[in-house]
Amino acid sequence: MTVTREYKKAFGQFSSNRTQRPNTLHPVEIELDSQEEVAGGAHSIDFEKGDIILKQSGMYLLIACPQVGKTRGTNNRWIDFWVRINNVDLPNSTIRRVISDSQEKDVVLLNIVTHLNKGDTLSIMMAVEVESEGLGIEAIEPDKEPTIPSVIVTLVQLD
Amino acid sequence: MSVAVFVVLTSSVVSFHLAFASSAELPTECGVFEYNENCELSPVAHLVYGDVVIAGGLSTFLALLFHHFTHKNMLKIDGVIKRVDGIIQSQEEMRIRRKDYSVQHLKNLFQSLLFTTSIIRRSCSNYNLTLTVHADPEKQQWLRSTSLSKLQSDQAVMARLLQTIRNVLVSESDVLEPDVINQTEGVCTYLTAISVEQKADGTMQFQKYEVCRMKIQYLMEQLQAYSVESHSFTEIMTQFTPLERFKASKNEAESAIKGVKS
Repeated sequence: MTVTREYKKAFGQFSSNRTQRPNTLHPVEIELDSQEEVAGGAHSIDFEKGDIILKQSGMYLLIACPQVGKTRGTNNRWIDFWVRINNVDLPNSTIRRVISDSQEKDVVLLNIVTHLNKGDTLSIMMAVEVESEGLGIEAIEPDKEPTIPSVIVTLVQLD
Repeated sequence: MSVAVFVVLTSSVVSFHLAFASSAELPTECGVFEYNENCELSPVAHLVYGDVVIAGGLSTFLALLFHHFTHKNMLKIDGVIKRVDGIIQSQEEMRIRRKDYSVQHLKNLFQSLLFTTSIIRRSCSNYNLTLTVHADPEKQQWLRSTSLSKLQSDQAVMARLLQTIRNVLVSESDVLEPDVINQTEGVCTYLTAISVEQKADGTMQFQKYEVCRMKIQYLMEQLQAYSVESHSFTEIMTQFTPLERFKASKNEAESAIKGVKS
């Protein structure tokens, strides 16, 4: 028997199991490769690589948690994250983390509340200080544990 | 103050009437209100008849005059109201016609935009083919330059279409719903930033082609929900289409679990 679930409000959780280290100093889009299971229902938000595409207009809460790290160097290096909507950077959404050591791993929290229209495209952007030290977001595969995604993005419609 | 003035005025008028009337000697057989040639008017009758005639005549005249003015003004006001109603109605009809036209125009423009994106993608493929085609260098150079010109002209068409859509949004912003304007503006903003990019190997690629098409189609769905009968956008019940890839992955996972159990 097929159970069809209907959700009134749009929501979505996306993640990436791929390590992404920018090889340019220009902003790059964080790519996503999986979406939450909706238990027989239908996804109310779609995605295509790094673009999250809204199917319903409304006020949304976005929480993105990239797992940052670097591979080389001991100097302090920053890495920035922000949100881009319809290819336009969203003001007051940028956050910065400084990493000094390759052993240092951290999750940074990016959260915004904004109005999005049906068909709007939302992307999480990343920029690094240097391209030679392997700065970026890391997917980690610990022993006897599930994979730690390089980024987890949660998007919930509020109204 | 005004009450005091009124009292003084009234009492003086009455006193004058009484004073003048009282000067004559009345025959004893005449009644107080008797009115004939042999009798003088009594002071009270003088007062009553005089006031009734003067005040009644004056008030009747004023009533008729005011009624005439009121009637005349009412006719004028009715005319003005009719003219204002006519103007409002014609403006509303014009607004509806503009709304119908702008929605239809936007639909056509987005249809053209969808078509142009496909053309640009095909032009990219054509250009990429010229990189691998085996021909003499001169012909290869010619093919490449003509394909590139075609690609650039297609991109120019897309830019013009986007500009036209923006112009429609500006000119029709007073008749279209804010939601539709925002959604259309969002799609235009996204598409304006999208461009054909050359990769390291020299090939051209239409960035995010699928996303562009998806966004245009979402908007066209919205525009197609416009009804010319009600002159409004009918509510689109968002039906979230299940994505087959997730269903497939779920089935695979379930079968894998069953396999492990068995």
